[in-house]
Amino acid sequence: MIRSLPNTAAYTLGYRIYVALFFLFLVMPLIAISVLAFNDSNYIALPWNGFTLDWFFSATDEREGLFADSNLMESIVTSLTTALIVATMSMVIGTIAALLFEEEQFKFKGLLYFLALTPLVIPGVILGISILLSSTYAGNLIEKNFGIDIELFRPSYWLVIFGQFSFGATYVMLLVAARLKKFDRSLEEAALSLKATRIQAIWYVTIPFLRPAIIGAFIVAFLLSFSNINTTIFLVGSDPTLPIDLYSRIRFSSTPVLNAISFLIVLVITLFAVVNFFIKRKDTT
Amino acid sequence: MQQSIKPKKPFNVTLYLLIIPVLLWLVLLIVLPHLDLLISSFQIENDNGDKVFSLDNYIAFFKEEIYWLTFVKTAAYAIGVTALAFIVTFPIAFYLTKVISKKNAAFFILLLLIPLWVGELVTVYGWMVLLGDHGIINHFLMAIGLIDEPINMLYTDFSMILGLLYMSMLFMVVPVMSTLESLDDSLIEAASDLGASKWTIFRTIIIPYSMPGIVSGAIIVFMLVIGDYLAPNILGGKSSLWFTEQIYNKFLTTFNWNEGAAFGFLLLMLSSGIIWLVLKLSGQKLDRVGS
Amino acid sequence: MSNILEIKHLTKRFGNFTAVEDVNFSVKDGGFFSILGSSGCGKSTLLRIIAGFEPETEGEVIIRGESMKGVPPDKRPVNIVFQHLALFPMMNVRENVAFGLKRLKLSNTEIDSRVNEILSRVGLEGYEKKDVTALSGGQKQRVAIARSLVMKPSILLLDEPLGALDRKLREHMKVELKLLQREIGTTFIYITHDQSEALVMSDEIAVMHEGRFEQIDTPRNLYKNPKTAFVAGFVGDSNRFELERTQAETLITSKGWRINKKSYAGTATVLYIRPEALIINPSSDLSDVESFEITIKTILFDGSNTKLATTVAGTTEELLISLPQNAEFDGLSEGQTLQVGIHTDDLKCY
Repeated sequence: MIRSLPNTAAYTLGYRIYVALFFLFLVMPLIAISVLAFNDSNYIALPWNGFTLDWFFSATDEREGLFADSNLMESIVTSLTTALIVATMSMVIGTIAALLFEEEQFKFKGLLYFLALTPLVIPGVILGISILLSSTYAGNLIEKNFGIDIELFRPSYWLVIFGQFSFGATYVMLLVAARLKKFDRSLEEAALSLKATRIQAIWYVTIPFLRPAIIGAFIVAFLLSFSNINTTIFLVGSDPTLPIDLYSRIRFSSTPVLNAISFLIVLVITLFAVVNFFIKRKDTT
Repeated sequence: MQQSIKPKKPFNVTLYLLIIPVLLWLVLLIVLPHLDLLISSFQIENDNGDKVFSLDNYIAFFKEEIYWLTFVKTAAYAIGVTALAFIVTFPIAFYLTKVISKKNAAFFILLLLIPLWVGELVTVYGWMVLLGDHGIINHFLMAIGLIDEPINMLYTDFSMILGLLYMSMLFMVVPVMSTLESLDDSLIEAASDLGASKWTIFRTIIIPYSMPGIVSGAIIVFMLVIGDYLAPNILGGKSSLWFTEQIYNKFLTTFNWNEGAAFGFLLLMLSSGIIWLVLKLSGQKLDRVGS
Repeated sequence: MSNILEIKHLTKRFGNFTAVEDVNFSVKDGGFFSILGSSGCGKSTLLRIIAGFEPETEGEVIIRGESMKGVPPDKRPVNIVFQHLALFPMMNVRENVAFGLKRLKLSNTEIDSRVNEILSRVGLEGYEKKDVTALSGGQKQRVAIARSLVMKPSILLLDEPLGALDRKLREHMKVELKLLQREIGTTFIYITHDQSEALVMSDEIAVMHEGRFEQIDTPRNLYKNPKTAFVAGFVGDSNRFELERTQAETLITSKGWRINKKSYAGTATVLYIRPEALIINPSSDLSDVESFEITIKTILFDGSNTKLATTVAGTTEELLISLPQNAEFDGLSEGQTLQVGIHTDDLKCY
């Protein structure tokens, strides 16, 4: 238990072993693929044949490395741009929602807030199929009545964006609202007494205060969008995102390039996490 | 000189500016789609290609044994994995908040966040590589002579549960840790001073105190597991009966969208129902859980 | 009366830092013993060692003649009231108070009767079902004390329990705690930084400074005969003067005030004089009283705590003198000069 209660040596040792095993379990899959990414073999698993960078760089027919695979590269770009747009949209609407629920009073506020929270408790699958259903219906309706086929209402790049945005905004809202709760409202009031309009007060006083939370929320929305499959899979058209592309490769045509791309993802995320860690360290010292 | 001041309610421009985007978001992307889901589930295409009202979709679900067996199995496994996730991660959450110092804990928390951000696909794939017949674990066990033939670990319920558990652990740790952090050490010391053994302190002080965090975590995890597609699909075998897979099939393989809608709606009811039940039983509220 | 607690050569080090250094004292059974000191002096650490939450580096804690070495907190015959009370927020008053009794596996009827008894002792009958988070500061106080006292410990340890209360409530609780202790008879060991609390409630006080005990004495002796400069400055109010080169039997302050002191060897560096020790217009019959003149700068009115801010004639030394609020001194005004006397024993120099 806590430091000030005496523990037997067996208890402390046992506890430490358990924690060690847990973290071993945690990193095992990531280390496995990271190591195998450099395996000189045409299969995704062992045996180990030696070290190679082929699966990253080679451009032969036999072995198409990660950076030579144009489809894979395209899907990475698609994922990045999608995530960027989704994160931006979520950031804007989510912040607006946070401000709305924390600072304003109106009828049906409770109901609206409940609705805004629903993406948290609705499985991503359901979000996906419901948007698919309603957008197809709308698309068909418009086509029937106006004769135009709007791409947005079919599985497509933009439908994916709107689908991911639907829950991204909720996460942003919660993260920003958490910080907004700590905001000293009298700062806004001071701005108002200095003849600012409400909008100006929010823009010049509240938003800067919220900036750390907004940036954090943007990053969260970005990551959520980039890695999302459950909702995206129903809305994706002919431009697959990276997870979708990877998924179909795992199912149907796996080559060790999968290890390579997985390793790349792990590397980027680890670097990002470490940088984030040191920034937080600096903030608190 | 006194003047009576008539209070004038100013036209709250801000309110309208804020509320309109939010309404657009919620109505267009949440309310309408789910209404459509409900409606579609009660429709089938008749021979003319028109949509007519029908209960056939739901009847199909109840008639086919495999459908509702899958449904029940999914629910049961989801509950099981959630419980397992709690048992496995609670000692870790406690260790990171109460036993080691904040400085050291920061490193371990970093370690926890990496698989979380890497995403489910890569980690599930990692398990596939580890557990396969030519995978690392089998290779290792054969290399040290413990077994002669590879053990079939992949494409079983075991590997599926492992994958689900792995993902769940990550989401269970965070809310539990945040609640434990607010637990004042002096409560534990006071209980000890009054004669409580470690197990009693755990039972009467620590668990009741952490309930909000545990409930938060359980709801998030349950929701994720029940709607998960990747782990059952990639790690489970042909016989992995997972309800979400059924929905996927209906929409993307057999194109029976109306039946898929019905299944989707049933899944939604199940997941919402259990969440509501848990919230009611533990006396928590949704907005408290949300933070 | 025997000693219920004996502390021998107790030392506690955290790495290079010594929190408690060679502390020795005993507490008689049934007494009210206080440890007085400012924050960081080590008193909390000392208390936690006695309770069992911190192991001692050197020395011994002996309760009722038995050494407590290696005995965990849940097995010691002491109970502690924490500074922030540590009431269990998810339990009501009754459940909090009964918690320790439940661990002793007593029968429900016995638990009920003891809980009822202690609640009425502390004046909280009828509060059993109340949620502890809904109580006032003073009520929470009493629940915390009840929870520990119901265990009938040999020693009750109290860690600055009155700190979070407002002034009037604190004054009231001081008296209540003292009476409670007398009535129940449990030995109290009380730590605080507030000297008024210590003086009012204790049978004996230990003044602690930087890990060491400067003086252990009754409140009265501590006040009247402080043994070290720290105690003189910490307990009660005092005028403080730096002393210059000294001659035997004469004190010379840094701002030029000379005053005689009988049997003074001439080695001190600091002088303390209590404001109330000064006698206004001393009669010449008083023996061993040194007389001198002061000029009144201003009168600091504070009810019974009124003081004269004065300068000692012929010097730049400032002296605060207590002014009784009876008719005798009503006519005083600023600028007036006055004869003032002080008994030679009340010139405390170190």
